Amino acid sequence: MAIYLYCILRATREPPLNLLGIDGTPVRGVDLDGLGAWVSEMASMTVVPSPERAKEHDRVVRAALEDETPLPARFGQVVASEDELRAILSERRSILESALDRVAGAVEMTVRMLVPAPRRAPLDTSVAGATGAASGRRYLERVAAVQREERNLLATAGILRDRVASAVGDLVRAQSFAGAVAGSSLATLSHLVPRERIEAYRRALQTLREQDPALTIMVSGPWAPYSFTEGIGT
Amino acid sequence: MPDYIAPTRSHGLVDILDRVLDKGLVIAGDIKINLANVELLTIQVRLLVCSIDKAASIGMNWWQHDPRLTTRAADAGALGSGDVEKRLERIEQQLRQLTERSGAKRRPSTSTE
Repeated sequence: MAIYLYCILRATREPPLNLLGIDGTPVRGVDLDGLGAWVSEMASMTVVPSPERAKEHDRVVRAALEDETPLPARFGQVVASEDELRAILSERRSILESALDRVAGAVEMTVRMLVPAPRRAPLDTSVAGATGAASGRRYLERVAAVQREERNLLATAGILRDRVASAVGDLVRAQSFAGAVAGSSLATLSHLVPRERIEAYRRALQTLREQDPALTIMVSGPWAPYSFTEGIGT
Repeated sequence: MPDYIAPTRSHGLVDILDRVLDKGLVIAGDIKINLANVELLTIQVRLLVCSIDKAASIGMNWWQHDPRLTTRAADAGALGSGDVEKRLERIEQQLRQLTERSGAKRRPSTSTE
């Protein structure tokens, strides 16, 4: 029977009664020599992702987050047995413990920022443009212009990040930034926020938004600290 | 701006997928094949769901009108081509009338020759 992992906890704790996980399987707590984990038993080692299953995974992690901040596992972490899970986690025990300490008492809040992009002339792909006498030079100039705009977009995203970061200041314990990628005008900034500061955090962003009505930001959360588990895995 | 800060915004499907499929603790080096499969599939699911949501939010909904992608659009397409057929019929009728009229004019003149 395969074991599906939802999250790791500081200490063994039983999930709420009747909490169901992926495909309606019952979730149970496991004691991993002091650390806790919430798992459920699956018939297969392979879990094909779907929006429904992603929601089920998140529902279990969210239930864990209600009482104490867990380290959320990424979707699809399946091991062959409880013993295997124990072996894998005991190898990383000290890293897991320090990660749990880092997120303890905090949640993840996420700010999505719309990065204003300069108006861009479309690339000339017409036959005349492609075969005209000056087309090669013109084409390369356009490509250079697009690349310049992408660099500008990244720089603008960086400025926005710094503005948001200074607005929330000491309210956050850590931040994780995913800059605007090419072709997208959304940048994502995740913060690790102590639970007692969530309201102050929201207010700080509300104030920032009121100060600059042109700023388009969306706040979501609280989440389990999905963005703050890097460097723990394989 | 209260809408953007409202807690109700917090648990949208795209947000969930973005986290659950892309972030979080990865353990287990010895189930790499499964992980590789999951990774491939998750990326596909995420792109699909994210892109539909994002596209719809900025008003792109061409797939709702493309006859090859939706049966509704096929009906709409049929209606559209029906319009074209009607117009064509009307034009052909006018053309017939014109040729008949000019033919009627020409006939007497040829008879005089």
